[in-house]
Order: sequence, then C-alpha cells, then structure tokens
Amino acid sequence: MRTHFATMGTEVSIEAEGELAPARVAELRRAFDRVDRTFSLYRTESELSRIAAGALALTDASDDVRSAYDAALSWRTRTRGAFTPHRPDGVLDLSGLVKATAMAEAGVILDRAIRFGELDSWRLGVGGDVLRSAAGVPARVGIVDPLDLARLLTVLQLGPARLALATSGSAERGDHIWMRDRGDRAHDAAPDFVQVSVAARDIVTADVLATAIVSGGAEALDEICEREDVDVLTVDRSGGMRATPGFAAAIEAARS
Amino acid sequence: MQVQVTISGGQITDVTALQITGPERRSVQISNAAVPMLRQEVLSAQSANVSMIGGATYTSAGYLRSLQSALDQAGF
Repeated sequence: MRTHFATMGTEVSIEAEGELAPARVAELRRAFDRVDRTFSLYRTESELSRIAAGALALTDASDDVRSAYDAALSWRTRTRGAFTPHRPDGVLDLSGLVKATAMAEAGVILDRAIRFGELDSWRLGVGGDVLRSAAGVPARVGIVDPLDLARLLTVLQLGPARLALATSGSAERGDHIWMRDRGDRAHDAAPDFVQVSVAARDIVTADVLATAIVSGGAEALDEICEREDVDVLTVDRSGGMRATPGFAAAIEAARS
Repeated sequence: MQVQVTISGGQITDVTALQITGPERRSVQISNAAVPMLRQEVLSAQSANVSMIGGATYTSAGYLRSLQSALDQAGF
C-alpha cells in the first residue's frame, strides 16, 4: 500500500507491505501535526513563534520545546558548531531537528503496526528524508539531482545498518541552512556543497549531520566522516561529487 | 590509538585502527573519507525501481512537481 498526506509545510509519504488501518494513519497525522503546531515558525501561534516574538520565555516553554532545544545544543557541540539552533538573526529555529524527531516518532507508530500484524515492513518519506523499518528487505531509494530536480542523481540501497537517509541543500529552500562563520571567508560565502546526503542508522543523526555538512562545508565533511558512523554523498556547485566508501557501496548494491 | 583485533580460529585475521571520539565515546573506523566520484560511478538508470525519493527539503508546492509526488500518484 501507499499513502500520503500534507503536514508541517511538506508532504508525508508511506509505502508499506500490508494495510495500515485508518486509525493508525490518523495516529501518524496527529504525531506530525503536534510537532507542526508547536515548532513551525510559519505558524504565528506556535510556541517557537511566540518565543521568537519575545512573548514566551524558553524557560516557560513546554517540555517538548525545552528537550528539543537541549538536543539541538548537544548536536551543536557534537558538530563543532556546524549545526546550530540559532539563526544569524538570533531567532531560535528547531525545525532542523524536529522534522527528523517527528519521523522517528512516526517510525515507532509504524513499528507498532508491524507488531499488531498490520504491516510486514514500511518506508516513510517526509520532505525528502527517508526512513525504513528494520524489518524487511533493503530499500531502494533515489536521490534527486540538485542541478535538475526532474532527474535522479543516483539510487542507493538502505541496508540494516543504514535505515535512514537525509538530504540537505539549497535546491528549494535556500534560506533553510546558514553557513558556519569560519573566520576565513565572508559569512554569506557560497556554500562548498549544493546538496549533501547522509545515510545513518537513525534519521535524527542523518538529518542533523547533512545540515551540518552543508553549513560547515568541506571542513565539516572531513570531521564528520572521521568521527561519525555515517555514509555521505556530496554535490558541489559544478556538479562534482564526493562519496564515502560506504555510500559508494550502497550505490553499487542498488545496481545489482 | 586503539586497534580492533579480529580473531578467527585462534588466529589474528584482521587489525583495524580505531579512534575514540564523540560524546558517546564510540569507536569508529577512521578510514571513512569522502573521495571524488566520477559522475558515471554515481548515476543510475532513470527507470530504476525505487520506493522513495530523497532530496533537499521541498515545500508543499515543490512536492507537487517532485518525483516523490509522481511515485505517490502511481500508488497501488
């Protein structure tokens, strides 16, 4: 089965072996809508919008918001500042983290559907990020070519150690990522990479690190590939690509 | 520097350099650099049978003309 619905300013797609009960789809919608209502800056009444407007202190915010902020600060440390929850204008923006967190929550709901015998396995796509169930065969996932959005750049296989694939870039939301100030270049310098895809065991790690590499450039790429258990594919402005051995192997696996 | 030693049948069959980093102090192999790839090494047949499409964050409007949308419309 395949289904999709709009939420969080983007689209959720689910493909699964089995049949999702309507109540389960409703449960999934509620999980995403709750994140949307709390964290979206395009909703003027969201907690994050009220914090940005100075109408709500972070210390008075809900547990959800404070724990997301705490997680974002941990990721900022772990990425040496390449990922940050603060926009250059000072506004607290947790959208880089909460979409992936919502996907992880949806994954728990979909896994429950497996336990209740509704599904055998599933793939979840949200705004260009992909998560698959641990159950089932490896998933074949395409990645859009940032220089031609109507074409696929590549196809890779997501095996049991890489259940998640996240892609960040400037292809459609140039303002989504801001560049880390590296001191040696202008703050608004052109990014090293127009698109970065990261495959990891979990979607939060994949999403945060893809954002961090776009923001931190080649230096962050080297740091993150060295320290983190991830596979990475980057595309630069001229279309040149770089891949870690694991990503190249995942592309090769999808060919056979 | 730490090394991971693989022992099989009483013999050392592999030695891999490890480094301990990160907040969880996990061990990861250090030979994971991203190296240049030729375009033909990366490109796949456009007709490839895929279950999901990844890409940079697209808005609802972007979704409508996206490849993922085409997949969803062809849903079964």
